[in-house]
Amino acid sequence: MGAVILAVLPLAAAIGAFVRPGAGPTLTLGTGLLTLGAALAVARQALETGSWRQELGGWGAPLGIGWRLDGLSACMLLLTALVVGAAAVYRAAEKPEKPPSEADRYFWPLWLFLWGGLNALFLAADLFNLYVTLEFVSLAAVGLIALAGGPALAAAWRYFLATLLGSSIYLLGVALLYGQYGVLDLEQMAGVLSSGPTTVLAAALATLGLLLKGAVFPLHFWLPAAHGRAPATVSAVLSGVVVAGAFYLMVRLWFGPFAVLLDGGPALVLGGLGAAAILWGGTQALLQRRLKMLIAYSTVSQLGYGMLVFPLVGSGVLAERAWRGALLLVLAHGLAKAALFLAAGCIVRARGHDRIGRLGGPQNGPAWAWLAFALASASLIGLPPTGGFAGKWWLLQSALAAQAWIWVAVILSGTVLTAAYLFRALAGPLTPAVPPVAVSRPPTALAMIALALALGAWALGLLSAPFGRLLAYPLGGA
Amino acid sequence: MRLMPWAALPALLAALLVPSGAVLSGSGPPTEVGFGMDPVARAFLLPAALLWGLAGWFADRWIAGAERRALFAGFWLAAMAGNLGLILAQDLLAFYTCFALMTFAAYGLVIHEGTDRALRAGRLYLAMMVVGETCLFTAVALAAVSAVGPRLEFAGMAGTPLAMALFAAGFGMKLGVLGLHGWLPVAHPVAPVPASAVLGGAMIKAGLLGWWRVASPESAELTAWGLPLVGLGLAAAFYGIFMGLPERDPKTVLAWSSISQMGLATLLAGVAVLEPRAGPVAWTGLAVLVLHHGLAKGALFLGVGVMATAGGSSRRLAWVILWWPALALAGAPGTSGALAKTALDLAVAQTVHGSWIGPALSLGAVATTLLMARFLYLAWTIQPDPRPEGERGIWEAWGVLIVLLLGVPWFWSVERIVAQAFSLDAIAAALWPPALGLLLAGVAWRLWPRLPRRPGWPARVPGTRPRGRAFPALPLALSRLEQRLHRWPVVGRTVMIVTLLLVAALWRANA
Repeated sequence: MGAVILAVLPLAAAIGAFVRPGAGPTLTLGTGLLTLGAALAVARQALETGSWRQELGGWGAPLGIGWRLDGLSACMLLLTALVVGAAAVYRAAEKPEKPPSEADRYFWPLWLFLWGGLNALFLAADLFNLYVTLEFVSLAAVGLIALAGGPALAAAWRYFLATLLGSSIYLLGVALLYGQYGVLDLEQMAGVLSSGPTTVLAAALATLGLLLKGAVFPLHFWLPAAHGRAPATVSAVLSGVVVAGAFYLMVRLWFGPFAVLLDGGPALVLGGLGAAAILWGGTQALLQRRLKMLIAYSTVSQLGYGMLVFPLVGSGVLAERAWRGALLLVLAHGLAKAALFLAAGCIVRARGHDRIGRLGGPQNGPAWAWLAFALASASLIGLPPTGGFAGKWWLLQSALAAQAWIWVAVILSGTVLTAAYLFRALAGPLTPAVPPVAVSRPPTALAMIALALALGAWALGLLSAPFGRLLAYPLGGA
Repeated sequence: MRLMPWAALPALLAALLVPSGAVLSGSGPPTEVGFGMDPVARAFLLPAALLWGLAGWFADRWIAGAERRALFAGFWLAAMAGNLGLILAQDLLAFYTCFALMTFAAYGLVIHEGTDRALRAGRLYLAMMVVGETCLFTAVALAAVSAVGPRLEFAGMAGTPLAMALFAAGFGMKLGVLGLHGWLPVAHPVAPVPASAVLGGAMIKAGLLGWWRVASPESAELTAWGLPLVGLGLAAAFYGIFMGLPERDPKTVLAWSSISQMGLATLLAGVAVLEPRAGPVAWTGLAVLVLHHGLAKGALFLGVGVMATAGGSSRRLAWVILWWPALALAGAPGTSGALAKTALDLAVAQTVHGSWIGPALSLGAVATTLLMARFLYLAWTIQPDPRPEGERGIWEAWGVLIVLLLGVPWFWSVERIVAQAFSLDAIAAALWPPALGLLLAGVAWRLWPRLPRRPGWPARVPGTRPRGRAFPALPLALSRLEQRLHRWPVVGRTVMIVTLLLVAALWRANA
């Protein structure tokens, strides 16, 4: 029942918000509460029973659409509910600086479509359904970015082309697989898939499409501008959940149907791309002069940690810990990154610009927003006892146990780089030398929402044991 | 902020009253964590609690400006929580968490003044501390890999040389071990006076405690580390003094003195692992050194603050009182320094190398006296800072600290060391180095203006060395490369390359 609410309610509310624009915020907040409750129920059930399947309309595979729920999808659904809900509250509480334009009436419908699409993505259990939900999410995201107008339009256009390219390549891979095996359901595919030229090509194409959508180095070209120029709420959701959705899909595929193909070579390639992302994203973030661009490049870097799950689980040593660590990192990143973007939104509103180093201090700026920024940074850097620390802790142990010194070096360098650029962003506010230049006073509620998300990242660390159990490694495929 | 000093009171009471073996543990994430009292914790807790409390009292009267007081108090309390927490930690994860909290909160204390010098010092501090934290993180993760049981015990890492090396690097950086000491003389002087006192008096001891926790259960297996540590410690003891003598700022001199004294601590740690017999005596000696140095260094730093704000006759009085902690640091008989020196000698005598380490230590005491003389000279010449508001508070805090310095080490230390310190040999041994040092200092003071001056020599102000940009072209090149990755033609090529890479990897693995 919870799953149905999760998928259907946002879509229904989207239609309602389209028909009656004034009811947008109310519908969204109501949906948010119900979705959060449903996600919690699903998570509790996943903790008790493991995984289960739900057939829609009573039609089993391969004819009908099936939904698959397990610990991982429960965690992602929970993450979506928290992040998208918080960002929605932020947007509702925000007093807009410009008078609402004609285009703004599309904001809430698009937002709810994005939400519904994400939920459906984490529930889907067959390849084509996954394609549909991916498209849903991408198109809604493009729309949301484009609504901001101005420089965001070019970024949205670029994102649109990139994501369309990604989806098409993914669909090509899926089509090849369907042509070869005649099934689309993930479980059935896992049963029949065997290596061969078509399968290899299909796997490569599907992965490539997801790499494009997940902005993994070197295909991250669309992310910085898109996330840096979108409004704070949209960036929070994009960086926190949408990119994680593409990563989630990669994990589902490679530890599901493609598990038989995941041997040394491909795992190393994927891990290598992740390592490059960590280092390149971190270096670029260090060079940024604007706060939102810095945070956007930080997303590129942090998703790289997730990609390390492929070689580390593949090595077999402490695989369980590597799995838990990488996924917990992605979850903690979602919460912390959203908190960062929302806090940055608050600060930018207060200052009127986002040039690092001239943003002032907590005594002449939104103090709560800076606190949220600092707490979220602690999670991203990996200071105990945050969620980011717990994730890196497990990931590093697995790498050390496997004596995979390259990955160890990458993880540690990534930590140092993250500390460097986040402290650079924070070092501005601790100096009393900058004279206070307050452009406007954003409502305190906005900073509080960011603070709540940052504390969520910390809570994830304190609750890392139950989440670790929830994210138990699926022995024998997804 | 007015309540800040009281925050240290529970810790003080705990150090005095809570029996060893009391434990507070819980299933923290991701492993079980525990806090509790044991003799090692007690030895470190007493000086830390005293210093944090009294320095907090001092800070309450010292820091001005409403919002800045709140900010300072926030960082102060966080650092104190971390410091006291790590002392009481009974497993590696709790220790590491509190250590990280203390380190990063101290950053806020270092840059509190907000001047350019403070910011640059803060940046160096942060850079080195992040490297140290990363080393510790890796070491703790290594411990977790091979851990059995729900808690990460301190012991059991001697078999992994990599882990011990990482622990040594991380803790050494905190302690100011020679080679990893770069941040100390830059960061300590730049912080406000009470923050300097706790930085040098209590926080750097965390490195020592960490090493003790990790190394002492396994002293027998780390014998190879003994002699290098002893050598490093002696080198640091003299290097710190050599670098500190030319300085012009009294707080910087005190910072170099900390490096020198922590060199003695390194030496003791080396002695402890060098020979199994020497172990217990050396660790006891370390406890005495920690108590003595914490109180003395704290008193010296606070004294600098008092002298900076005093005027006229009270300035003379402050300067005279300042002689006591200075002599204590030099190891004059009757002071806590003599106690520490006795403990050091007792420990060193247990090793085969005692024959040459002993005289080296005495020489070190002479050198320390010279450094302290230089400090006193500089302290006399500080220009008073016109600070009209409430100085009575700072005099009282400082006075209590001096009184404690007089008595506490004698009452707190092991009886054997105290008895030994009262013997004639020990008094004589404690007497001649400071006396010789004072003689040399007096001679230098007289003769210095007449000596031919070497140009440039003592004119070093740390932190202001012009730092040329090492690779000015590198950031620009990286940005350009990134921009090139964004262009569509390049994107197309990248897509092709990644596809080929994936297909090739899959083919090789599965075909």
